[in-house]
Amino acid sequence: MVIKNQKGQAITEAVLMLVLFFGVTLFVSNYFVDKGLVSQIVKTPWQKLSGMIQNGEWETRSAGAAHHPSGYDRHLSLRGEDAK
Amino acid sequence: MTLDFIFALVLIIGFSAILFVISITMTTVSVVQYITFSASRNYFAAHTDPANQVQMATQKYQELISDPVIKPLLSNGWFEVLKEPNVGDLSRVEPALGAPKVNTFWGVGTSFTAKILDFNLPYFGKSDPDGTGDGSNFETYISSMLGREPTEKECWEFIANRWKAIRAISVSGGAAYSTGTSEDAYVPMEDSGC
Repeated sequence: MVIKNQKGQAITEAVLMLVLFFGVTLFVSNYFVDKGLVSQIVKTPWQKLSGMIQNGEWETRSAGAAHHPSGYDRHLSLRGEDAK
Repeated sequence: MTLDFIFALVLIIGFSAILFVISITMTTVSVVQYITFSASRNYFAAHTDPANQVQMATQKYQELISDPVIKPLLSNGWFEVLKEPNVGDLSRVEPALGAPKVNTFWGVGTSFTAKILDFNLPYFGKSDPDGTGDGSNFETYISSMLGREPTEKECWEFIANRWKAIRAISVSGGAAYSTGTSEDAYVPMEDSGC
């Protein structure tokens, strides 16, 4: 069959391209959301970062608290020995 | 081409937004850290009594978080810090710091919530899928613990009772300080503080 009128080719291809790019965009977007990409970039590092800010230790806040200097046994004398 | 451009633009804007929130959070953490440090320095100095030390630290902290340059950053909903800082024996005030063993950690601290990190970017998703959206999972505690000098009042109390304490010292193998001395003859005298 010979199509005599070929004026709609450009718009047809444009629609196909539109569908293709929209599909790719949706696919990438769903991939990001499903894999929790933003969460991995932001929330996961924050767990240890918040611990470093609070305790100065690359641990989570709760795990690093044990390594905070206030939790150390320090060698100091708060009271002197009795006189002899 | 236009669609390709829009797709690329969305990606770039998204990643730029993520980098921005992380950068501004790190910057603000540094600023708040310095605010607690500055307040802690004000707390450290002797002053007249312990209540006065707390007042001076609180005053400095509030002065700094109310600064016209800093205030918009801490009050626009991106970040949250305490309006009244924790001042004093922080290892007992803030349970997150863990149980102290020998406690020598006095200073100024505040909770810090980076609400800006709790976001939902179109096409990228949520930064905290399990969160409630209030940024509660992006909290930490910022503090500076420089210690505390004895105040004038505490110094005087110490000096006033010093002779009584010396006379009460238990001495073995010699005469006690209370032997042949009197409590009444003692004149409390300050010499360059405690």
